[in-house]
Amino acid sequence: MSDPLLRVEQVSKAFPIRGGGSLQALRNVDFEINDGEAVGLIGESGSGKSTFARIVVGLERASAGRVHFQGREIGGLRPRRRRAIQRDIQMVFQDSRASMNPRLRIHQIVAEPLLTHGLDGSRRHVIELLERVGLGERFADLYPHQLSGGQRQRVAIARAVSTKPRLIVADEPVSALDVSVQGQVLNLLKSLQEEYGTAFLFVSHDLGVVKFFCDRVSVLYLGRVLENGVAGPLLSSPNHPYTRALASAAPSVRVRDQRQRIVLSGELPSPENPPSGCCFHPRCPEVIPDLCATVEPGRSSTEPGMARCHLLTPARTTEGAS
Amino acid sequence: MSGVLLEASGLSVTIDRAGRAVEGVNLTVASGEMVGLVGESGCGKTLTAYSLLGLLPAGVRAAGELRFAGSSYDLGTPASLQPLRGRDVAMVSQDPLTALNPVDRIDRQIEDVMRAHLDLNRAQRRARALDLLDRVGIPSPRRVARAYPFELSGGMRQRVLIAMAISCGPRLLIADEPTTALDTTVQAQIMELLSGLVRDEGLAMLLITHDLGLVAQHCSRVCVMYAGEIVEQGTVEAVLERPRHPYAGALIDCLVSREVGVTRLSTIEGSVPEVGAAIEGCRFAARCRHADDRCRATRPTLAPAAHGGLVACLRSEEITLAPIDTGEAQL
Amino acid sequence: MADVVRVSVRRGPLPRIRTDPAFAIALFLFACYVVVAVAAPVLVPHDPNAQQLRDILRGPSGSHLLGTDEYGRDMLSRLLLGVRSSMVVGAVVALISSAGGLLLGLVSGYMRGVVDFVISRIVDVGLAFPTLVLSLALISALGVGSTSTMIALSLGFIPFSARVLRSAVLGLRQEGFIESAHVTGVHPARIVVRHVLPNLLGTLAVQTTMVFAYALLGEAGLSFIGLGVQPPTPSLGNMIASGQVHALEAPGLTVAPGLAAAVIIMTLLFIGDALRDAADPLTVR
Repeated sequence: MSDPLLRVEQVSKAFPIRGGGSLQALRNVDFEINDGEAVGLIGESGSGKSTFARIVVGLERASAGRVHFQGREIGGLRPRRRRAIQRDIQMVFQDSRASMNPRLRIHQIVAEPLLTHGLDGSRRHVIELLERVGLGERFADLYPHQLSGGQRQRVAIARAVSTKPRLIVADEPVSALDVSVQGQVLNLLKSLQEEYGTAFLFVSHDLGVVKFFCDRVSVLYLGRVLENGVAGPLLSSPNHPYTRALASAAPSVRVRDQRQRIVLSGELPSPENPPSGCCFHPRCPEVIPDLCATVEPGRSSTEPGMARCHLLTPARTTEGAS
Repeated sequence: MSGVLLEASGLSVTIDRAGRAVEGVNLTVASGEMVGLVGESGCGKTLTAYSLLGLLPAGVRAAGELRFAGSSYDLGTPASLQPLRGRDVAMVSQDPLTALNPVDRIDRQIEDVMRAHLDLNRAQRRARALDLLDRVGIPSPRRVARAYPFELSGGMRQRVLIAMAISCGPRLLIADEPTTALDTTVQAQIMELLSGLVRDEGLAMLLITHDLGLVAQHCSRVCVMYAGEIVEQGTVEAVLERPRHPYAGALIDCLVSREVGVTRLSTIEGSVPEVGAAIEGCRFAARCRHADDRCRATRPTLAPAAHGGLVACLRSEEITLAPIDTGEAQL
Repeated sequence: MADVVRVSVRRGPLPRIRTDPAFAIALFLFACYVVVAVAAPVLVPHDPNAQQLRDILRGPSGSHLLGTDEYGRDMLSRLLLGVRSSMVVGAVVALISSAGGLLLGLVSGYMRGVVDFVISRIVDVGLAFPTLVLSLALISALGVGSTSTMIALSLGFIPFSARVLRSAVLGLRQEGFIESAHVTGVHPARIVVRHVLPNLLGTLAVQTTMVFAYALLGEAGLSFIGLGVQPPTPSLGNMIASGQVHALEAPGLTVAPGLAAAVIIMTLLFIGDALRDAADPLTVR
């Protein structure tokens, strides 16, 4: 079997906090993306999903673990080598306005990655790229603040695909946009993905968006992967109680929604002192007393992939059956 | 309709040097019901809410009439709304961190609201503050009462804001995107809390939101705004299951297409017109797939629709909008 | 209130400044001072150092519009040249300390780590002394005179500029577009030139204007106590100093240079404030 495009092994990230101690943003995360595959990373704020994306693109360094890209360890590369690799790893940020220098014109913004990597940064080529994302030449000489949010995100996408990267990391690329515009941007991303065969790391809190865009998905909670697997089945019938709660909490536009709503109690505990045992146990509606608070559950394979939950371990299942 | 608590008529909002941002909005909310005011950014829903409280910023002026519990108020003179504010009508805003004073403890901030409107002594206020914190589902009211806002999580802060809002026994709560800044699981908790206030205590609530899902799950009636006007209103079942306005239909379509698994999501091409843009005819015509020459020439007004609500569309009777229940998205 | 904010921000802050009459007046005054500073040698009606001992301490007259000083020199001529030497000191100090501050701020704010630590501590030490005391110490080492004044004041103001620009750079580092450039693989030097510097210009303009004002004040102070610009070359500071002896019989000798100094300093501070207001929405977005 060939190597995956991106293989993240046992990555942890701790941020030192003032007054001693540390904040464990990620703990032993394993993650893979194959060539041309879109993988979603779902989590609430504080889950570590943005930190993970920043490690992959090189904005942060992992405290432990390895990040392989195209079979090569890239976590500890020297800056010069690392910069060269960025041609193949681009990023689309959530806040398109902040991600563009307010003093540059759109064509200069789109040309930057091309010029950086010695590619054709001519105005003609930039305009072709703008047209590809549904914007015409008339946008080339505008400044970012003159565009609407959706138009700016299209520019960000044009910039990200300009070097024909193998992997695009998209951190909540549509969550700042209106629903009607989200669809436009997501459809564009999807058609570009099909056209160029680009792989995506798609970070989002919106299950509907992930379900549409991603082939596989990982669910992050307090820096740990609680469940992962094939997106469709995982999101329509989750195995982990947390994923189930997430899926049921997203309000459906169907008025006579038949799903039973699970309202979790409490909020995400502080990553400064995560709960013992299963990190989800204080909020879990199906917690097994004693066990969940003390023993961290291992991986159990599930239909779509794997989940970490004591409810799924063979011992429990047989007990339940008997 | 009986039991109407708030009735705004002919509400319009004008922004200096930009133009009319809200035009001719009529809105009613009855006790014990949650009405959704829904629309995308720039549609004027927040301005509408703020004008009801007389809280528009400088350079923005409202006009229109407000009837609240039998009395009349002029929306054009914000000062006249002052007696309502905080006492009969309270607000829960989007950002619970900036809405709280960072250097004051929580109990003090809640008690300040009561001091302005209620005739209670210090001990009574203190007791009531703790009681309110308990009512909004804060697990250890005594500890939270002594905390500073930054020590609380986003969900806790929003609960505190709700406690402040209901502290003087208001009859109407205006909630402006109350859960937008929160995580999905916490959003569910806060919406449960707000729904409970309406259901169990007979509060009237105007929910300003961009999220049709929240409206579907929690509201009984809904007004859909587009470019400063209400384009469709009615019961949630009517509007969300059998929309008669192409904008409402398309918006619902956008959301449904994500729930059912499609290769391309439904979208509404183009973008919302800018405030003050001179548009003849229907303001949605430029983005509407059903628009014809008539739509581009004549501005539609709200008229009774087949589903029992109101709709502002000239072609509403002629066109077919995909009913939501089929689960099929138009591509 | 996002809807409202968007409408007002789109117009941008600069047009407001252009139409603000107070700002226009300040710019006009500043321009007058610049013209005087440049053209003073041509503008002077008399030789500023020509003594006419029969006509000392005269009030304003047709030939001496501002009268004469205690040596019978033409006050108007001396005032024009005094403005010139003070403006030169102020401008040179503002430019040198801004350039120095920019360099330190960029290196310190962008490289972080040990370099930042060392520079920041040196800057802290500089800030711990009042600028005038620091300048006095430097002048005692360099000797009195106009050049030493410029060097001393420049060094004295560098810590201020460095501190302000460093924090501006730190703020910019967090900006999405800088991170985006990093992800793209842009070389750090190019990031500084293309993304950091242009966005620092607003802060830099404010800082330079403010230092200009304070440098004028500093020059006046140093010259007043005899350590700055040396007579007979006039400067606003040494004119006030020599005039104060005769403050009772000829108050114009101190009032005229004092007023000239006050007006330009206030003008500069006003322009600086207006620039800061204009720059803020851009840097904050």
